Amino acid sequence: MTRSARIAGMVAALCLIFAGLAPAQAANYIRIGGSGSSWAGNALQDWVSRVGAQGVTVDYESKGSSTGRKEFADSMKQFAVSEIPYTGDTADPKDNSRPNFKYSMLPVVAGGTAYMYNLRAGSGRLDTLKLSQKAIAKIFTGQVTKWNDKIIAADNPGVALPDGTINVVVRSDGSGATAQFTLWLLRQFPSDYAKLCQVTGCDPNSATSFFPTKGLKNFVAQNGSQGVTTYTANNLYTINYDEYSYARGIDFPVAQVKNAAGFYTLPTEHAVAVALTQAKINQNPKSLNYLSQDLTKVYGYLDPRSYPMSAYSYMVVPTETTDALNEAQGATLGYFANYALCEGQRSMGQLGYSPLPMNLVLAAMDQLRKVPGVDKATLAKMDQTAASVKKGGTPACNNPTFKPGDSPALNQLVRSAPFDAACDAGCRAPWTGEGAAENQGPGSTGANKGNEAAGAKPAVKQPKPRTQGAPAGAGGSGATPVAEQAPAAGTVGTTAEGTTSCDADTGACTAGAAVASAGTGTQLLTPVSTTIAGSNGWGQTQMLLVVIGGLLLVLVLAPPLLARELEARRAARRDSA
Amino acid sequence: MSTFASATLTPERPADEADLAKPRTLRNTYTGSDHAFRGITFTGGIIVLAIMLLVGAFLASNGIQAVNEVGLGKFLTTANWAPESNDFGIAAVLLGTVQIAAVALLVAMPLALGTSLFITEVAGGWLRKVLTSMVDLLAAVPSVVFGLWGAYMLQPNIVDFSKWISVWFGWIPLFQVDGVDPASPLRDTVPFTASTFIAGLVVAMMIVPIQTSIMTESFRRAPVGEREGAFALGATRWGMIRTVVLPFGKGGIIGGTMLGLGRALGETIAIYLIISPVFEIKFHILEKGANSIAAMIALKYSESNEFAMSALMAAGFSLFLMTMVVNFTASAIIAKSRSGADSEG
Repeated sequence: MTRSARIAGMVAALCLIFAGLAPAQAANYIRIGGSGSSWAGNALQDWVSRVGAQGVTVDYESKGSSTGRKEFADSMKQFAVSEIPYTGDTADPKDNSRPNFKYSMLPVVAGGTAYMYNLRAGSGRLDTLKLSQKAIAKIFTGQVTKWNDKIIAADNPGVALPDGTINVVVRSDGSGATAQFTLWLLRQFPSDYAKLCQVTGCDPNSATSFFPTKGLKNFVAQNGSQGVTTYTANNLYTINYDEYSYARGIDFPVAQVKNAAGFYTLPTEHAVAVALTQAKINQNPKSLNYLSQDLTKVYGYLDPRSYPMSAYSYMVVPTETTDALNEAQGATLGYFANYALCEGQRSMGQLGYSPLPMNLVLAAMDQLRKVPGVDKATLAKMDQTAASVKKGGTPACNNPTFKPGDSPALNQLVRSAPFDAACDAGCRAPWTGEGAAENQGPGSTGANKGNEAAGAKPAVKQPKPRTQGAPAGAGGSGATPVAEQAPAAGTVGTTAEGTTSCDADTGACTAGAAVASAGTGTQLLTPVSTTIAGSNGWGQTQMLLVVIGGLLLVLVLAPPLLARELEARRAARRDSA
Repeated sequence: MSTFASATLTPERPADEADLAKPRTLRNTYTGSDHAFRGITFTGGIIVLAIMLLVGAFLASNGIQAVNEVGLGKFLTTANWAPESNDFGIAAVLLGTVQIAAVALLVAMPLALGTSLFITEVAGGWLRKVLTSMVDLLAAVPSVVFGLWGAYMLQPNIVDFSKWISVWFGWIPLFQVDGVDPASPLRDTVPFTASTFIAGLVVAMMIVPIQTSIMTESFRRAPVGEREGAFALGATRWGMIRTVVLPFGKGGIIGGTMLGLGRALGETIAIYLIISPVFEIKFHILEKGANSIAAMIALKYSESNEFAMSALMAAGFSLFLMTMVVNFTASAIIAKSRSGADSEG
């Protein structure tokens, strides 16, 4: 066998292997990419890996919302994820990159901005830190610089706080989390924000995506959510702000934040869902910022279960073909976004986010239909979701916020949200009715007529957030919205601890002991394989990995070996000559 | 005198056939492959040159708007970076870039010198081959990997060393760290993180390979005759290295160091991952907060209004010029040393 024949054989073998692998690339969805928010980055990574298991490749880079919006506007990526829109009063005025094509925004996930900290008290890690919103504002504007400051001590009676500097870790890159945080400062604590701007030279009248740190000695700026999280975990006496999932991912504690009712809450899926019932969603479909959020009422919501720093994150998609997106890529984008909005929501609670309520899911799907090239299969899935919501009885997407038969505006997570033990019956009463679970959102998607009356919003007047007052009973003494109507028969009980639960894997929902028809669930759900194909033995994936490993080894070893071989041969020739 | 000279020369140079004394014209006859080779190399060279000039022209033309707005003097002397309020300049970032590069050089140069001497003079056989391969492999490690290593592994472990330096040598302004009470029992590491020092250490790891391979090359060319001569005169190995190898390789040492400097000045992602960006002129290298031009561009380019972009282009242009000067100087030194002038004299 000659040398060339051997090489030819090897090439043929490689071709065979790759040819064999080709069918594993399921469907005909071509690869697309997006970038943006790292606040929502963990959610995106979860969806990317799940659609990856189905053979659809989507790349997502958590580079920060500012970079995401810019790359999308410059047609470098097919989609972006951002907390804030391009325009409007919640946008960053300094940021003036705009897409020169039509686009729309769709909410993809909800979450809470958590304050992860690294503190030691006594012998172990302190993990029960409580903070009032005022204290957070003072810490993050550089006015409180010691951990044992009395404003922090007031919320933590009996805790021996260390006499150390508060090292505030903020994002150095342009970030939607920073934009949302400074917007909260601007709206809730304008005088503190003005003081920050006085020191650092920022504009006190607008939020910013770049946290100003100039001249603040106890501030550290790090790059990306992963950067601030790792930095905080590695250094004592630090505190940062970012999505709850980051702290959860490494098992670090986050501060319990005092809400307007005077209770300390964590950014759990329930607390976020409760708070976001007050998010004012832009309901004008003609607006560029249709479905964008105004969180002003969220901050001061009086529900004792509410987590005040909750927000939605948005995917920005083109609604016409552009330099970056042709119809084939649009098909992938449609598939991916539909997956994220539908099945993708189920895992959000475990990750540290909160799933979208069904009315926003439907509205977002309507926006998604405008993406050029969305294929029939995806459209059919969206139709099916809408139909099953309307029809009731079948669990649409198995979204944990939705119970078949209810209005899509009712968020089941709100109904099942647990109360603080200190909140007695009187304090709970205003919040256990149907109306309390109502999400603001496009009314046109409300399908279930029977519950529309029950969906009337409670007349909540929003007083200024109270920063003092004992937790117990504080909620009850405020403006008390009264539940308009007792829950309709057939819906699950009025208690806070709802008994409906859906199995994330099988799609079967159980109400109490009664098992809902599991069979109907299957027609809606494409079962998601959570194990990689072939993981039970030697499969194509393993084969591919071995081939890749071999090629890498060749790539690394071949040049030096070849050089040495040539040198030796040359030396031999010299010697013989 | 002159008559004697002309008399002796005359027979050798016939005056009447002066036109025959013209130098013979050399005619190159190129074969097809010669033409192809010349064409390819010529095009390659021109393309590289053109790309470099075009990049420079692009940066200059885009940056001119911002520089015109504030004036060149203010652009060079302002420490802040706030294009939206017309208050920006490269004083702080330029100084930060140079500081990081200086730390990197101080660490990398001795390391590279030692490594290359070991490879060429001490190690033999398989060890030399393995070491050479390892250095080449190190050069192939992507800078983001170095950055992650620096931010996630080196930094948590080196802060205590930083603290030790600042406690004992804090009286030198360079090693001073503000806001730290050495008597405090709390282990507050934050003031020592994200500093010029740590960024410089990581960059040092990245420039060691290029410096090592250039130094190794120049040391290998030290003539065998002179080496043996030194040994014959009774020199020890170190004596031979000092008197033969180092003088001969001087050009390589300087050139390699400066090429490393060029890379250190332009390093982006590793610095970007480690530093906490500050825009002030500071000389406390152990203290939290540093900056460099390349890292600043990477951080700020998403804040994309047109004017801010122009300001970043101007900063990029200044980095471009600085790196070019450094690299040209380095290649000039290397080229000079290659002529062998150092050893022949």
